[in-house]
Amino acid sequence: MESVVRGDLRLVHPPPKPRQQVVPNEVLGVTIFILTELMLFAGFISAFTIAKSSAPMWPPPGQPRLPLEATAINTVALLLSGALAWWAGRRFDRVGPASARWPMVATLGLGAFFVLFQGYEWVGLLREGLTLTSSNQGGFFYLIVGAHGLHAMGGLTVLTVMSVRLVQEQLDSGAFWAGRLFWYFVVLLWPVLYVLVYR
Amino acid sequence: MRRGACSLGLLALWAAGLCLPATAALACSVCTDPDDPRAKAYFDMTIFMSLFPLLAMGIVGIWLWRRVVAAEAASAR
Repeated sequence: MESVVRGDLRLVHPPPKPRQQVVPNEVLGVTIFILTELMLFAGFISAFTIAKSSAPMWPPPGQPRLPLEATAINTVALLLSGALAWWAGRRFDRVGPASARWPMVATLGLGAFFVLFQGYEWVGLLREGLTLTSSNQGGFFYLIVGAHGLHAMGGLTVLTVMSVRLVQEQLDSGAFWAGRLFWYFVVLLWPVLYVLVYR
Repeated sequence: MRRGACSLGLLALWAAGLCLPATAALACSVCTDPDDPRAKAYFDMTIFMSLFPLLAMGIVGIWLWRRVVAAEAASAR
């Protein structure tokens, strides 16, 4: 108990309560970053919707149809990867960091499959004549899906670093939560883009 | 006297405002034609881009507030 004597008065100050962290700094930072990225994609979606409604035909004449069915498999793989990341988080908190290793590696594997499959799909579309400048559809497709792909690659880098630190037993709970949060953003954004762009 | 004149002036201004309602601005080509296929997309995206940031920030705000309440309840125990 700290006390200060001033004249006749004796002021007694209780010791300050230790500050409790409501949300880890990493998580708050990633949340704010996700909010800004959401607005970026909202702008893309808005512009794409207006461009699509302005076109007399969609897809524009001479442009290939987007691979809706093959991408559905890829979408399932990404969603499964998000579910595994969530499970890894639960095991990390409830059982211990060591038990989160294999779900994290599986998350990483499915995420890598998604990005590689996207690359394979892009090669096919480029061969069929869908390029960045071939039509409005091509421009928006590569802009929106490409921006998501860049985020997925960033997420994979984060997942790789987290998996390595998990194996080395150097991963703290806040960093793990923040990394998973970014991956959830990548995973949950994709179905929205898939339905809008591929349909 | 001077205060009364001021009130009368304001009343006249209000009446003039009622008599001269604003006409629709023709700046946007799609706003004036309801049959334009783009009109609905513009309208929907205006609503979306207006409400989406508020919704996103609201969700984060509510989440943080709930965590603060839970932390305060835990420290009070």
